[in-house]
Amino acid sequence: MRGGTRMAEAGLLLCGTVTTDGIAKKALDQLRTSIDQFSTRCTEYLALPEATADMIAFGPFCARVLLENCCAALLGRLDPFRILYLSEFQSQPEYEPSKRARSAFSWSGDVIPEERPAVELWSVDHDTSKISRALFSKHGDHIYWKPAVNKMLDHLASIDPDPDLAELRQLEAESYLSQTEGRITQLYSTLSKSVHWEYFSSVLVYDEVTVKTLIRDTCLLVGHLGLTSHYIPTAFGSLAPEEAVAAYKPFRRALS
Amino acid sequence: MKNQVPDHQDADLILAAEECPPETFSQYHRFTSSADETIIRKLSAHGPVLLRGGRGSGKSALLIEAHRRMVQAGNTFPVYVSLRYLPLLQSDGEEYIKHFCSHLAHAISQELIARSIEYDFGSPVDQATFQIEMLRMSQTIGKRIVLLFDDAAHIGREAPLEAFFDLFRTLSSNLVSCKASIYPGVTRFGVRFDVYNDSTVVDVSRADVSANTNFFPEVVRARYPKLAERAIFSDRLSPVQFANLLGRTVVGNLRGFILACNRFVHQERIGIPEIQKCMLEMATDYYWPLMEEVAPKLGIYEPLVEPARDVVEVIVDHASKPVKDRSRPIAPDRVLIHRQSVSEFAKIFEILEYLGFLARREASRALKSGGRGPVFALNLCHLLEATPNQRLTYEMVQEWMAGSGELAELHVSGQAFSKISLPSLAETKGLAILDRPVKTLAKSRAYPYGFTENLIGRLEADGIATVGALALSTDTQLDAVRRVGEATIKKIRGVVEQAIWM
Repeated sequence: MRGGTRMAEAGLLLCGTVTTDGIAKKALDQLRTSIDQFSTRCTEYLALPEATADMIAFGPFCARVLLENCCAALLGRLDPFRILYLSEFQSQPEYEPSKRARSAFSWSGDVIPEERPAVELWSVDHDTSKISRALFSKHGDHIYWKPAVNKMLDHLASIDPDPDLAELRQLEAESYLSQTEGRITQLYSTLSKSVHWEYFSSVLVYDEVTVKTLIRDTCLLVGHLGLTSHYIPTAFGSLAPEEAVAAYKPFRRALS
Repeated sequence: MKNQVPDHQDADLILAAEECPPETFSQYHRFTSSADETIIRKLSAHGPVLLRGGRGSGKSALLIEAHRRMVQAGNTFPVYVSLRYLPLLQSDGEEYIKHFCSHLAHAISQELIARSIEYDFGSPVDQATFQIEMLRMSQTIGKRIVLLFDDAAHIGREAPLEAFFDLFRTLSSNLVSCKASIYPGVTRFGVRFDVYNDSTVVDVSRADVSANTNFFPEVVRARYPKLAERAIFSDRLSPVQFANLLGRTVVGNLRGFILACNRFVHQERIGIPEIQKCMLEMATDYYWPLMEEVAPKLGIYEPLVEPARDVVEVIVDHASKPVKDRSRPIAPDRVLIHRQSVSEFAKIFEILEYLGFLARREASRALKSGGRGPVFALNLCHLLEATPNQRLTYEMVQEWMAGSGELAELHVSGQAFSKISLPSLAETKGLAILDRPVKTLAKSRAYPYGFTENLIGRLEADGIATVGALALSTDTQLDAVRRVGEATIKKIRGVVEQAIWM
């Protein structure tokens, strides 16, 4: 099975290494286990020479879980308060699994900012409550992602060229987040349609080539985000640059 | 061999993918890398895709291969549509949409016939009707439609692009997957099209031969089996090195690569001196004539050709300076340019990249002097030409192919580009080539398969005086010209295609 077992690196790439015991470690360990499990399943589907009913039915589901878990892990590493709050809340008697919690982790709000940002990034009139702390917020882009992409590119420029790292050299700090946000939104929506069984016409059902493309694009996108996150100085549990690259390479190779 | 125009037998090998007969397509095209496989899958899957690459980077071949595989698989209805259609180049807005719909409807009808599917697609003339017609057809035939638009954007005529991307967005749906090839630097997507949300952009680049060492050797094995035989190469040069070196020389441009290979077809022995000769000749008889050929197709950007030459000379001169100064034995083959300079000459860099003079290898790297900028790989022909003794050594081959040597840097405070002035550009201008006399297409370095004086005389005698008039002539009109038959019409069409399209 191409790369199946090596995808264990995916959890490390997204969650980093946390040595200090506590709620954050438990939450990230849980996410890491899930990421490893679903990324391994994803690469197993990618390696199948022919479509199987399982791959068509469960491939988009696995990719969507992977996408959500990875974004949750990244959010937790960038904004630990959020993951600590959720983890703590879920242990409280007030948390009822049968009811929708308004503060639950949500795609719109935690990953993609809910409101359109103000035209100016900086203004004395901006209210703190309205400054989005979503993973892909404009301020997050300015504070976290842009400097991290440049740091990563500087690190890559200092090491020997490697085919596994070639496409990373095409990334650009200025456009990285808008590009990633656009693609991740498309992927989330496309994968969801297969999870919710929205299609009632056989013409619309995803074929092998579509499922594999979706799985691969999802893995690649979270891989890039995971690697970049280790160049954010304040991110929790970050790996050293060399370790991050070492974790990324087998992950990338498994998608070749 | 200098200035020699290849003979017609060689010309048969210079097949642009879209001109290659379907029955021989697989014989001449190879898609063995995982990157190619990934692209082909994206071109077949659900979802809108923009395939971005320079001239001769292999975009058309990838679209055609995706079409071929989808036809074979049978679970989708793929339509390959070349947008090399003169009325599209000469119109905008509503008129563009009308021509587009009629052209696409024709392509769909042809595909229905080819697939032996009995369905009358009709002739919708606006976007809304077209969209409804396609959804109806998809549901009736029970297949998802995949539209593969080739040559969607012409570098010299940007006005219709907004209309095209609007159509691309409107026609895309769960039942209709739109894919289109574009060139690097297309930025006029229009107000309704958000490139990151409404599509996935996929880059085709073969400039880094160290990242994929199999591609060019595979092309050589498929097209020039003799050039893949160990026996004709010198001890220090293997067939794989030969293919990859030529691939690197032309910064991954397939057209340039084929033209380079053609120069070795009749050689009995190939070593580094022969490659050196080829590189120096191509600097003169391939790259500069390419600029001449392209100039009249650039529309409002035609005046940028002269400064584009200057930019190439400045970059190459800068890269070769350490060798001239004797501070380094080998000139760096890649140059890091401050993004402010690249942005000042943005259209020029776009043209140079499009033509394969250079290729963007990295999007952003830090300069030692501060700031960031892209890294461009230079074509090795000009680089070798600019080095003092113009001698290619084994060490140079090793370093240039590995892509690991130090970079040349052009920082923003340097004076390198200061003498290049940018001409002001006209608001709108059609393509000058359309108004040029037919004799422009005479056999020359720019048009190696151009017309004879005799043919030009006969066309003029029949009132076909300009390239535009020739492009609009029907087969019947051309057939009426003295001593022009089916074969000559085909040749005329080929040359006109080369003259107008990129």
